[in-house]
Amino acid sequence: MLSLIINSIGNFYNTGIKISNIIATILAILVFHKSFYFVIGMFFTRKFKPAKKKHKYGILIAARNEKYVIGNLIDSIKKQDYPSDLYTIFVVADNCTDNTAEIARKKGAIVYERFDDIHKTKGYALEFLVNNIKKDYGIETFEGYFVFDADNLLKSNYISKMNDAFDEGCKIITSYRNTKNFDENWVASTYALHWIRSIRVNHRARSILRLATNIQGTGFLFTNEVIKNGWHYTSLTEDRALTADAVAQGYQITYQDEAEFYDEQPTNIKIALRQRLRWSKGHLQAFVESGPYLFINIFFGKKFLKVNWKKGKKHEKKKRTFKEFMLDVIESIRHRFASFDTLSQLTPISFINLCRWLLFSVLIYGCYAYSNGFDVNLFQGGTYLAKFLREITNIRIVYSPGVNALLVGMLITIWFRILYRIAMYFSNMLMAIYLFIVEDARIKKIKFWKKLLFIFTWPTFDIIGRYTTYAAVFMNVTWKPIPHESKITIDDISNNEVE
Amino acid sequence: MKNLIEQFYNEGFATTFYKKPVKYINKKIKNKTLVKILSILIKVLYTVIFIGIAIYYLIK
Repeated sequence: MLSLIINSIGNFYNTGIKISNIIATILAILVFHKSFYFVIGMFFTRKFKPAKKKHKYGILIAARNEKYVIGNLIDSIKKQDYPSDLYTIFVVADNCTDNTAEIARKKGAIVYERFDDIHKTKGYALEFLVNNIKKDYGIETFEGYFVFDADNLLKSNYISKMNDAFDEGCKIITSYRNTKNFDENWVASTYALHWIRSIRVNHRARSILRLATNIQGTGFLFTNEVIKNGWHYTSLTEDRALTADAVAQGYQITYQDEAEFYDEQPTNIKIALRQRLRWSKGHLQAFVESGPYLFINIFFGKKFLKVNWKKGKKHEKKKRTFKEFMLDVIESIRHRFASFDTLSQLTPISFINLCRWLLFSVLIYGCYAYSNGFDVNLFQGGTYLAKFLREITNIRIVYSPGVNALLVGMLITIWFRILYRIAMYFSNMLMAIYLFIVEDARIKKIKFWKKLLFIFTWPTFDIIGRYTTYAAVFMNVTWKPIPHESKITIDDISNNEVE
Repeated sequence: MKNLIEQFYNEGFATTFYKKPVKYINKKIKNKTLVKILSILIKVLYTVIFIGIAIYYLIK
């Protein structure tokens, strides 16, 4: 009976391969455009003219037990070359048990304290802060709002540069995320390289093409119409949810390369894993919540929206000229492509690929081997590593049909996967080399041997991301704070650059 | 377009593979004609190589 079942599954192998190839093609279509992004980002970014008007901004900072870093952030804001009467710093001291609120107040920020042990994410803290600003000042008092984490530090021209982009009509703008503690250890360096990779591979190209890049938690500015009806992004990754809603409504999300801020990265692998697990879970939640809307948007434009920030705004219906009509058509194509792009970023491709591999390459192939036996090279595969190993060796594994063929067949596909991943590990190191070359001027001066070490450890970032995605599908993840203890100030960074 | 061309010769790869070599020959070679010829040569090489790399990456 068991043999019959195994044979039936094995007979499905050829059809299975075709289905697997179709799934692989669909996944490849989802990421095909990224090659163009990579090439564009290699050389170009969007530039902005100096602003004609200085706009008024509110700065939102969510802080939980951040006594070591909050003061340094506020100091770096106060050192901006932007009129101080045109920005107001708001801090939400969220479930703080230290003197974060006191420090922030002393430095001149307007502080709201929040204590809520049930609703613990940063999104809830921002929701509370926005509600209080709405009540005490009115949302429209400020034309735009910045969001920062307490561990950030801003370059002195940060707000001016963001204002340049805002003044050109950009409504949601993200900026260059550099790292305070790049060379502290290998964990921090992988994060630092990841942020720079996002800039080079996503932000720059999307900005040039007037698409929508993704907001990444901190260091972004948005127009007041986004929160006219309050802040509603309280999931584990509020940035992903905000991005998806903005894209669905047709907003461009722009990147300003000249506005630079510094961020502290985790140095402890346990904390890093916890954070990555939260990101993965939030990513999946955003995919489930916003993915269907984005998918529909690709075909139907803005007809089906989850939220509408412009609700209530009257649109005058008037006859369009041919030029206006054509511009509308281009805008429609842009919006649909941006929806597709954001959907492709939210899709858990690594998890789908894992399922595809387990089903078609392990299970069905094992059953096929049970019925037909197999004869394969030990170093089978399309990678350079596999090709090289095949050149220097010729080890074949041959099994005739039977239980042994089933077990070894399954094991051999696992080995091929490991071989593929080893090859990918080495080719991924090229990305770190590329980033160290093109971002040389902005990356903190690091000793050569450390750079070599970081190039070698960099691929672990994506490996961790892959496994946390697998785990996030099955695990219940809760929000936990990331401790920040760096005493680096913006003056320390500026002095280091001068040296 | 002018802005994009400017970026191509001023940022990222250009810093290491175009601007630095030009700066170096400017410092080391006194003959102005030779410097000019070498600078153009480096510019052409940089342009061809990196456009080639970009096209190769897209085709691959």
